[in-house]
Amino acid sequence: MQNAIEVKNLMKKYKGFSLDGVSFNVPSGYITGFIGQNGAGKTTTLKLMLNMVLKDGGDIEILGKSNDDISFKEDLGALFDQPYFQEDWTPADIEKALRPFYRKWDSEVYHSYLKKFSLDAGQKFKTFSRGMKMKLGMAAALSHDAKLLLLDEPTSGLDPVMRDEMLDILQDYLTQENKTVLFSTHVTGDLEKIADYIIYIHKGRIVYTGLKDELIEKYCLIRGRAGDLPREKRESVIGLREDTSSFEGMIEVANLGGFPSRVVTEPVNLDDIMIHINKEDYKNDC
Amino acid sequence: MRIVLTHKSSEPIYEQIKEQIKASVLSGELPENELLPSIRQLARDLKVSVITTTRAYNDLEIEGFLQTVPGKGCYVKKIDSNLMRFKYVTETKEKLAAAVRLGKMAGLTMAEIRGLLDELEDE
Amino acid sequence: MIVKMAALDWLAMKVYLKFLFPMLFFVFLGGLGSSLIIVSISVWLFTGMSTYPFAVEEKGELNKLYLTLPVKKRDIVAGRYFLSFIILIGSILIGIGCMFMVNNYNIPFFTFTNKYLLNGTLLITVIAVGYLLYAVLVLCNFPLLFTLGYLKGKYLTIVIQIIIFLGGLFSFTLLENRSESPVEKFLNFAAENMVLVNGMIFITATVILALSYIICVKVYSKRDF
Repeated sequence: MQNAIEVKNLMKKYKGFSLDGVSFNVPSGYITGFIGQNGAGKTTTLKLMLNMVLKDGGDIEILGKSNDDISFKEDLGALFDQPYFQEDWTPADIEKALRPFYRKWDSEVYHSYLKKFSLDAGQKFKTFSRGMKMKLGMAAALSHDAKLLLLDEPTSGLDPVMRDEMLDILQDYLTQENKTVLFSTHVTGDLEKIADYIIYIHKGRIVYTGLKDELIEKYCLIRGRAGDLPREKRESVIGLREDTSSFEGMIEVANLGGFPSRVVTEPVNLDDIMIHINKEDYKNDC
Repeated sequence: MRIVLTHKSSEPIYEQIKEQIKASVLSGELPENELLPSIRQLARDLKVSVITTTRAYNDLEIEGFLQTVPGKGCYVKKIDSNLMRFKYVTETKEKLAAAVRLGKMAGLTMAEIRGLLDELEDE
Repeated sequence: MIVKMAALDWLAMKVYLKFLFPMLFFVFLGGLGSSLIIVSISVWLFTGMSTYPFAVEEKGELNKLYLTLPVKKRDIVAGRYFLSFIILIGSILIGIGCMFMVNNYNIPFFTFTNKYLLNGTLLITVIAVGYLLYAVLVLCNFPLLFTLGYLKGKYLTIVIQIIIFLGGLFSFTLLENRSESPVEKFLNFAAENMVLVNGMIFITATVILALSYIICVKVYSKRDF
């Protein structure tokens, strides 16, 4: 199967915000990062995939099935900013709760994860720390041979050590063939290292979808003295910021011709891209 | 196989992986027919994306350093190291010649150009 | 699948079982009026218990868990109905047990007007009425709770139940105070036309239950979380 997820023309209208014909694919076997500011539409899109929210238009296909057919959830592990379990449940209760629903639930795998993450099977959910809760959520998501992991901000609020451990877990998962991860976050540093593809959503629209490397190689930061910005080049600088002595912005590498060689260029990271595109947008709205 | 990456250099990660594997093969550290870690395993070990390691391995295969056996993995290919070395020496000579031409256009003497070589060694 | 959802709901609300014994006490207390209505009181209190899954679901945002499971929304609703039905059966048995104790033993401090004796035909009518009461309560509770969720829907359902309780109490005491008790007449009629009366009650209750189920499924399917 080529794409784990195919979204075509997805539409959802809320008061004050709408998803306007969103289309993208999530290729099988890779990690796709879903980036965008808070409120850009990431969580809404994920909820639409899971049918937690009803779409106003468009098509969603997950693991080859229309997302109306709930059987795709057999092969799906989902984790939100925290796992949602009854607060008095222990990991043993969680297994009791989830196991009947999954044909491929493997108790040995679940318990080996509990052991690996040092989670006490008899401890109540509400007493776990945030990081432990996330690991427990991952243990549950990984114990029924899921082909697709949908994660919504799984590392937000975690300390750097825990974040690193989460990424390790994800990469371990990917060492098997035919496993796909869709990982929405605004902590882009995590994705910079391990993501293969990026989907960038901004104000309910897809700004970019494709290889992470291509996105990062498409742009660069540019900085120079105020006089070094040719007038005809102003348009091509994204998120231009200037004062009396200098200017700074982001530009497509293809548009670098025409600047004096004095200007400084630097590779971008995902944060830079998001910041500059947002600044540009803000300018255009004013 | 030990690969040490630096994220701060301007050299793309997949290039770094390529170069280090090539160097290991040429030096004999990676013997012929040695099974390399899978693309995914390597990505996990180096904490980089799968696409990156795929790119590196693909290039290495095209350049003749490794061979993929479907279902089994990537093996180091029998490299005629003398031939490889000769190839690299030729390429180095060509690039030096181009650099010398450039330097002469800029008005540098051979001594100054040699001085630049010394500077590079220090870096 | 329905049973699995019911089991899941049960697992989630297990914590609230600590209310079981206080509720038994109130069942007895309720029978102070007449041992006849013990079963109805029991049904009422325990049907209240079947709203706990809603509370638990809302508090823990468990719908975010339910909707990641391979379960149809329809089955989530059905599971809750199934669980409430099991609770109903339990409550009827408990009610009958209490009724038996009250009729045949003298429990100190509880003096009951043992006007009605436990016998086969009456028992079935009592059960049928309990079932009808259950169906009505579910109709009042579940659609509201499935639409609005527990926090918002709770108050509305309490208001409705108070209205029903007061209405029931009022009409019962009113009727009982007449010399020719219509209730007694009804019970005698029921005893004589067992199939007709009980059959009608069962059918009405089932229709009400089915209707409320359909409403709930529609409402829950359209809801955005």
